[in-house]
Amino acid sequence: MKRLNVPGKQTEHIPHGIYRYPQAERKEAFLRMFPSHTKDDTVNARRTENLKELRGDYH
Amino acid sequence: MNQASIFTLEKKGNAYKDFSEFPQDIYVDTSAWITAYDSNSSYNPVREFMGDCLDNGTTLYHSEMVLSEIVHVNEKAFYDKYANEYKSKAIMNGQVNQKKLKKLINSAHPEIRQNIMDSQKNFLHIIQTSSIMLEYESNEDYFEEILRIRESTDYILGVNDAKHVFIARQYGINSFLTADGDFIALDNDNIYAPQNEKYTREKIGRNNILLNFDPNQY
Repeated sequence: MKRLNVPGKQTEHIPHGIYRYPQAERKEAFLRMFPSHTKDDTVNARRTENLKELRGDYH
Repeated sequence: MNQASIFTLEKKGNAYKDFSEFPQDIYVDTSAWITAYDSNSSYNPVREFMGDCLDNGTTLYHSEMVLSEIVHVNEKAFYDKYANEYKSKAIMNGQVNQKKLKKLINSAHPEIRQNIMDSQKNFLHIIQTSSIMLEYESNEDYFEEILRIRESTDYILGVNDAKHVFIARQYGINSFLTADGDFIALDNDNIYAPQNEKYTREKIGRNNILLNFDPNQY
């Protein structure tokens, strides 16, 4: 089934986003991107419920 | 036939209980992105695992399918907040007309557009900055393959789920981070998931070793 190479293994690929950071700094940079607190709990809960609805219920 | 390996994300100290080796490449399903984005509790195991993946040289991937699902569920979540308040005014032919409902909410809460835009922008930025997009093409043969993936799971996997699997496998990726319990129906894949009763039960009796991508197995 494999037909394609992932972008990182293509010769013309230029690392972007977090992959420009040294490996040891990526986790910290990643965690920093998330909001530190939830503005609205209802919206968070509804995102999951809406995905279940979209896909047919999953457990 | 080789059942998928299941790894749940509990840690003891800095180490994961179920595994010490990280996959080289992992496809992050929409359900996992949504779980990671949730900031309700101080510790988020999915977010933590994604960070550990990055620290261990794993590359995270997404697809246009992920972005589309995120946009849909995020936007709907904002409208859902007010839906009950306006449903009775949006009934047409005995049913709630969703377009009318949106118009009513837009009119009563004009700030909703900006809130959706801000939230969407922030969410998509995180995905696009921390993971690499896998492009995919569609044609009749590919669609047949998506249907075959569904068949191989006895139709437990939905069409959207099967499309995610198809996209990843096209690139030789057989590791998935997901909160969707249906992914355990796959074969020869590695499933990383937050701990819950279903995954804990389903882990029993499986080898749960990191499986390499073998094109002859799919």
